[in-house]
Amino acid sequence: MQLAEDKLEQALAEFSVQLRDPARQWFMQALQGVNCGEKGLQNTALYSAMARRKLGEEVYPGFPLPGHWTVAHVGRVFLLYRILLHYNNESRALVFTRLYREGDEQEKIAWLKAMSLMDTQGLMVEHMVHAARTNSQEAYAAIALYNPYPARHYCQEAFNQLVLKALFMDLDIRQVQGILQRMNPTMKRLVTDLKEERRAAGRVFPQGIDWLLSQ
Amino acid sequence: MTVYFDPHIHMISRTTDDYQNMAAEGITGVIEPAFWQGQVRTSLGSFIDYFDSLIGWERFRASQFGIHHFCTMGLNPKEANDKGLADEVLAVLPRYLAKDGVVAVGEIGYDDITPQEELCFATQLELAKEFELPVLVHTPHRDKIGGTKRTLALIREVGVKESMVVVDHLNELTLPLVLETECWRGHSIYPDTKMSEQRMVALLKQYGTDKMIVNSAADWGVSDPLKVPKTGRAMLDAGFSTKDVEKVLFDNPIDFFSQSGRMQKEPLRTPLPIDQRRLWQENSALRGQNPVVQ
Ligand SMILES: [Zn+2]
Repeated sequence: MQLAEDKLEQALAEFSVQLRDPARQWFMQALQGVNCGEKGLQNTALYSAMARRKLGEEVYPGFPLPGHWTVAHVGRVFLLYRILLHYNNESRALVFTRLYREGDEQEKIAWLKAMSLMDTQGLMVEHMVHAARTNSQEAYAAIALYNPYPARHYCQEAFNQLVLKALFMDLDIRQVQGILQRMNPTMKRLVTDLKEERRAAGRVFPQGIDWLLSQ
Repeated sequence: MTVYFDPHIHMISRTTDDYQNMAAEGITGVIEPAFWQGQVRTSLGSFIDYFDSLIGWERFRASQFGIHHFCTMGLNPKEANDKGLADEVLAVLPRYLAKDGVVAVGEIGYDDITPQEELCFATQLELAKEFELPVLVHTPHRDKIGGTKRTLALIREVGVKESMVVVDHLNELTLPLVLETECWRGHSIYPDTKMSEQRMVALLKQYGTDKMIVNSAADWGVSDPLKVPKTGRAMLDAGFSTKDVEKVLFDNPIDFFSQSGRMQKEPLRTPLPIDQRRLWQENSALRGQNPVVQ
């Protein structure tokens, strides 16, 4: 996993300035505990678990990715970033996978949303596709909406499935990043079929479906 | 409408009908303690998946019916006797105790009252101190009096503050033992023999309402997820005031578990907006006007 180091470092510096005590104090101390080795990993997991209670859930507008970010989500992303910095590109996927597995839904959501900065080369596509096998609308939205990662790294088939399931989950696909650039005849057919199915069942169409078909 | 809180119910074994009926009866929140599943698990992975569903899928499921969901984490005594596996479970427990929505260590305690059970019980009492969490103690069904006495002795020995402990599944014989301590008093109301609404009301008449907690302990066995509101009605029939009902069946359990610092009473007075996640997303995130920064 290749990190977008410059961007993250700059955003982290900005975040540290924006935080107010006692959240700031806690966060700075937490970063100190994010060392390499087993202890560092355990610390990272514990700090991430506590982050919402320590940092709060206000909206944080300064994070360099689109979408809705809370202070807790951003703090969790930086904890992950700092632990990954201790490992080389090859080991990072292992470290990430373990922390991800141990995270609760909100921790997972924070990390999925930031994947484009954690893995600039698209090595974690399989992980993202697997993570998308969820019934939670919020977790799915973390991958599908406002997230530049899928359009950048998914193959056509995977990207089409992402859009289709977003429609099924009644998410606003106008917020799928890069959807127009990734538009293709198969996607149009899949979406048209879905619309016909819904019409036959007498159900409402998911939002954004006509917008997409008119493009 | 009276609001109720069921602080001990194993919703993982209950259906969506139960959730609907509970919400209709005024239950706004539940605590789901980690317990055994009716048969022993044989690998760490089964525990991990169970713990993960308590903080994940089950919380989401409850929210779809407007019900606030919290849980407690612990290695139950029935499964503490497999020493190898117990050690593995105790090793992963700290990471769950740090999670949001985990409001106590529990259910822990004695079942067969073996040395191995005692070891796991004591270890987890220490964890409760470390994570500054309250403790939910299960008292055994066999040798209940002996088990309750040993429970209270061990709590003293480890040095957990008694006011941070609820001793659960009490009856007419074991409640007086707990009344001599600062521990909170838990009672599980079952359909058959163990403890009924009427017996519970008699205990409240005799001993008062302080630190008294009532739950359904409903699980995969014969049990009734509406026992908390049913006890509320039995209390009113016996002449208790609405205020008394709310004290025992709403305030007390929340006052006890909010010692974790991870739950607050006021938001629990109202049900979660149904499909809250969707609303939250559509209003503030998914359709939000947040500028694209990149
Ligand atoms: Zn139980």
